[in-house]
Amino acid sequence: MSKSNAGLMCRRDTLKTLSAGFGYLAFAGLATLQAQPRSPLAARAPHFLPRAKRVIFLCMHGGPSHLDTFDYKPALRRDNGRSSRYAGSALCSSPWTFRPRGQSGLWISDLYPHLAQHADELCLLRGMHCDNPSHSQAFVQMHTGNFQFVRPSLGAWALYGLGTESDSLPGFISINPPTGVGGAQNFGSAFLPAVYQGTRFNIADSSQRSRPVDIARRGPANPFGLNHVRNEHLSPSLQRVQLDLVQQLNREVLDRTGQAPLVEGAIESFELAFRMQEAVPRVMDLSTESRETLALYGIGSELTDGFGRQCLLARRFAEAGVRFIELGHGTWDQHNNLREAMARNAGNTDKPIAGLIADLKRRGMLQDTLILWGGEFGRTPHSPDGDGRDHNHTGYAMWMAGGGVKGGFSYGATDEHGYEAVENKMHIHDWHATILHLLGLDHERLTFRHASREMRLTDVSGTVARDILA
Amino acid sequence: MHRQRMTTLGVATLWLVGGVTAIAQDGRPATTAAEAFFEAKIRPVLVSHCYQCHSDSAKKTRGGLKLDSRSALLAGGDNGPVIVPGSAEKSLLFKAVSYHDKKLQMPPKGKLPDAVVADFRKWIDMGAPDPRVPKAASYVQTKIDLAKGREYWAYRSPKKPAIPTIRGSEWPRTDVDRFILATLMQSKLKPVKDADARSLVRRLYFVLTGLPPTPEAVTTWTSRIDGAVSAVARRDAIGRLVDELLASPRYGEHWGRHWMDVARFAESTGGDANNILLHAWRYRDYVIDAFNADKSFDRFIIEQLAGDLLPFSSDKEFAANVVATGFLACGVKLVAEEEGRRFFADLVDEQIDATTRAFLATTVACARCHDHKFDPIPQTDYYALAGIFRSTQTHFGLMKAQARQTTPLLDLTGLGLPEIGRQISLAQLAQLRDKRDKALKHQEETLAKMRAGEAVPQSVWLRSRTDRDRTQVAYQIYDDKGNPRVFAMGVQDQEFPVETRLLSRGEVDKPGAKVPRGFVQVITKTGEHLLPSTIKGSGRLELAKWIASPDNPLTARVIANRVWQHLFGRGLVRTVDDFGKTGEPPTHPELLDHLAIRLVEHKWSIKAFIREIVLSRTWQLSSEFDESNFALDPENRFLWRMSSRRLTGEQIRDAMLLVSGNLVVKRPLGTFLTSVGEGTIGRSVNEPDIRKIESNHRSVYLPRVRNVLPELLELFDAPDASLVMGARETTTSPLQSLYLMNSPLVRRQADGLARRVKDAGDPFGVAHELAFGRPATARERKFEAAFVVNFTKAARSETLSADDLQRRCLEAYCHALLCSAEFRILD
Repeated sequence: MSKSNAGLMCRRDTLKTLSAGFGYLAFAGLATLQAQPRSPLAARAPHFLPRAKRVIFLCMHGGPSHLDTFDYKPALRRDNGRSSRYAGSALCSSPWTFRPRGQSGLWISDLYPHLAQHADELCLLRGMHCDNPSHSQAFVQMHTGNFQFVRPSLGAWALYGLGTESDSLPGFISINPPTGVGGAQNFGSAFLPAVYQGTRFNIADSSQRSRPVDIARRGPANPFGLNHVRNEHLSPSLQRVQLDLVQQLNREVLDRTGQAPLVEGAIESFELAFRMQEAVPRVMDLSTESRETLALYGIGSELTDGFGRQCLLARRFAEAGVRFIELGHGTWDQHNNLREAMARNAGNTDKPIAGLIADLKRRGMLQDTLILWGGEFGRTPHSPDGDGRDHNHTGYAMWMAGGGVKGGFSYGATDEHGYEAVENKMHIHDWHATILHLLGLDHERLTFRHASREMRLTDVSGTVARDILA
Repeated sequence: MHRQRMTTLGVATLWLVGGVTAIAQDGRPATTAAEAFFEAKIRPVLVSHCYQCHSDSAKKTRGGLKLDSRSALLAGGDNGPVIVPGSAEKSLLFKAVSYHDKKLQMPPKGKLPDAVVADFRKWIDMGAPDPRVPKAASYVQTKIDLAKGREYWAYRSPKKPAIPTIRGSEWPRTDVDRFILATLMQSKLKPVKDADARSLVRRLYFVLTGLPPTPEAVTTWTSRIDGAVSAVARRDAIGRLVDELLASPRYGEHWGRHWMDVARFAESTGGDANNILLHAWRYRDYVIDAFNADKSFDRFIIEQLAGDLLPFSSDKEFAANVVATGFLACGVKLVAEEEGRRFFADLVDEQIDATTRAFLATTVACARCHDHKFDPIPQTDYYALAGIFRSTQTHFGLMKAQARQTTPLLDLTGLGLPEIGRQISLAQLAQLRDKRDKALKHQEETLAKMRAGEAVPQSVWLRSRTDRDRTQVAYQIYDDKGNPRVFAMGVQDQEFPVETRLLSRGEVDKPGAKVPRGFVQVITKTGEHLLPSTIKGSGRLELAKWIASPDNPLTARVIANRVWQHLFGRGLVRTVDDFGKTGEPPTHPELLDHLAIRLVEHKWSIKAFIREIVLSRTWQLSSEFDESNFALDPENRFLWRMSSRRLTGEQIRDAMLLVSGNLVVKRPLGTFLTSVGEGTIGRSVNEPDIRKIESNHRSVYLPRVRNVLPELLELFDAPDASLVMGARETTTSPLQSLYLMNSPLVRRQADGLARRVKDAGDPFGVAHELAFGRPATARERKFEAAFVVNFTKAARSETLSADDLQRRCLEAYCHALLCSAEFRILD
């Protein structure tokens, strides 16, 4: 390869030949390897100055109702019971009271008493819309931009663009993602190299994950959230002896062949794995947290324990340098039983999310951590039976906080009843473009060649919502 | 003859829902008077009573049905066609407006006046004249210059190149070598030395069969090769080994798996609601058998695309041909899609993409929404192919309760294919029938309760539907004598070809001009790209023959390149699935042509083709490093050595199982997913039930469920089968290392290896040789000795008996061998 060619070597080539090497070169002592590019996971400079270094996505699957949470509709109250634009069902006002909160006076319902205290940190996105009202398709589109084809997840794109700052943990972690609705696609790397795919952690969740049906469907949760973290057979010192032999054999191959990126990659990956055996149980062990912190997240209370653990882990992963962390909670699919189920869902998550914001803030991390909240769509203003709402993808709400977005700010609006986004509409592509922008990445320049095209998360769309940038 | 056979081919109707329906074009021209009748009596009613829910302008189209254009009306909705022109009695639309059927009454707000209903009857009986023409989305005249496009290297027929003459060099053995050496010399590169016999034997075993040689095989063949008295004798010895390996059933398992990557084979639908496909394995076995039988590749193509349309001489041949069309049925499907038309359009799109990329390395599917941006493929080419696949029914069979989009399976009972399961008694059969009847009754009662307004929990309703389907499946897998029936996935022609219109921006709601069926123009002789109007059927057989023709400029090149890739680790065209402008050009264009022509000369025999290449000196080079060559060509594009490569996940697992003595080489019958049953993963099928399936068979036989691949395979870059994937990634991740160090599967193999060698005089040395196919070097023996010392020292804190210590030390050593890079890297 000539010098000029070397510059053109794309990331995929890099990966194929190098794998996860972390500066093993000096160790190997091979002059011929000087031209080797860096690890595909090494932290990289973004396109421009980032406002956020990492993302925590609080993913509420099932389609949480915007009308009962973050999109206050006085007209819906006024017209309660009148016939909606759909024959056979009547408009249904929210059973919960909305109040202006904080200095900014953002209207938030009583479902979120704790979160409402942080209203001045929230940037409500009330003009969201996407392309499909079916769960799986909308959920996949929220994650990958496209429900038709298998495409990389938002987190994989972020990792591909920025690398990771942790050398002992994966760079993209998805905790308790739903198994249906597209499954692993939602944290997959698709055509991006597999190193960028999310690593699924399964976290025990006393409020949900202990349900027998979930255990049956997904398998029991692992205390470390990952498979094969512990060696059940050898003590660490014995395993080290074993690993030393493995590495000696590997180095023999290197010495014999002179140049073997595959072997180098193997050497590095075994060392990282060895570090993960220690790092993963450590980061998963919440016993070092103070009682006050645990209480802040609602850990220990039945209602909030599960999601509280996820939120606290998110902070710990963030501290450790993980680039993209996604948490899962659901289901928010309240066709019926709206009052009870919404109260339970919000109850599960309100205090933990408020705790996360407060904790990040006091540690000085909120300013460079972008928090995202939302689900695949919202719900209809009408109700089939007065206690439930159907799917609505034409207008709904999500929110952001921290990492470079305006706090106490509301962007976009739906019509008077909340059917359709009508003002400052934000399509999922726009949402993606904005998130990448906050990370310092230009969504039009973050591309990967696949199937003969320079592929993008936002395909041929996406507009950064500049109005929400702090 | 085959036509007759087709009519007797039963189609299992148990999973039947009409997502895919042929629309026969009614041939009756509407008279002016008839059209006037429509304008006066029918159109106003449609506008005022139907359009609100059944038109382009409807907020949400109900039942996938639109009535605001002639084509939409004829296309029907989710329940199939709504009018049969000429027969009101047979038309769903009339049934609905006549309010005879309680379940189907339209418009929902109240029956139309009797006179209007009578008008509808009259209108349909007169052939449903309908002057409405869809607003044809104006098709922008293509700017693609096909004549210029034909000049691109990949679209010109391969020309027999002159074999380079190399003066003053004894190095080349075959024509392949002459091409390679000529390029090496131009680039000032020198081939490294030949691989030693031991490396060569290991390479041949892994590359041809996917498995390592036993130490005995290494010894035997190494001594035969090294003991040869002349160069010719040496080549003969190697040739004999090649023949032996190509004749082994392990060859088809390994190379069949290569093809399954291309065919995006999997045993679940993937997509939005991942449903198990219990019968996909028949296609898997078909592929393996085809490679083992060395089926000519042109024939292999035709069978996969149109096996159902081929003449045949026996039932068994017919059945195998139909199974081959599983190629078209095993792609990703969005079975939760509500709208039948969109599902069908995506299904056809997936088939076009898979077909054109797998056989032609051409991305025709890029032209679904607009002319191809880079290659000379106008949008009409896409719809010309779409017409062929739209005229085809795809059978994949899912339970209705689990998937909105289902189609029946093909029933191939009694045609000589292997059966799964045993015959049951008539009493058992009756029991199954009773269960089915009970479940059906329960489901109907539940539905009636709900209709009557009773509050039925959703879970009860869903359960009743699932029970209905499960019991139905359990019953219908037997014939009326209790013999297990044979089902397969595959395709059949629609009864009539379906008219196809170009869709503006690919959207099903925006039909444009009619497109006649045909092939990709730029790789067809000018003026010959359209199907003759006289052809009967879908045109799939014609398409298959067009692809499998030696005159197709791409087909032979594409498969020759794929084979080359598996032999050398990369293709002459590195982008094996894309020979278009955005792919990479060949490193050796003349050699590629030479190979394509040789393949055809070999009558498309893949085995003969492989044999020719592996007997070249180029393929038998060592993988040793050379500094000056490396400086000029670090990627080894010009093949100055053999590139090292990491084994595939399948090879790694199979090699571990072989080395541990655990491998079961016999092919299992059917799929291990039978124990899991049908249904949606995460809903009616539990993921852990799939994950816990254990087997010591070769990896090609493990359950291939999209998103739930066997852990080891997933970690080592097995494709998820979402699309054609002719070239795998080779990634290295710490999760791979965690798996190798800590997973029970690898430990079992380590323990197995330790058990195998423990009674040998030199257990450590034997284990090393079993793992790597070579004895340990002196330095490695020193590492081994140091390991034993350090292990013993570190184990002091654990109170172990001397025997236990020895055993565990050997196990840990064996485990280290399996973890080491050399185990999974092939030189």
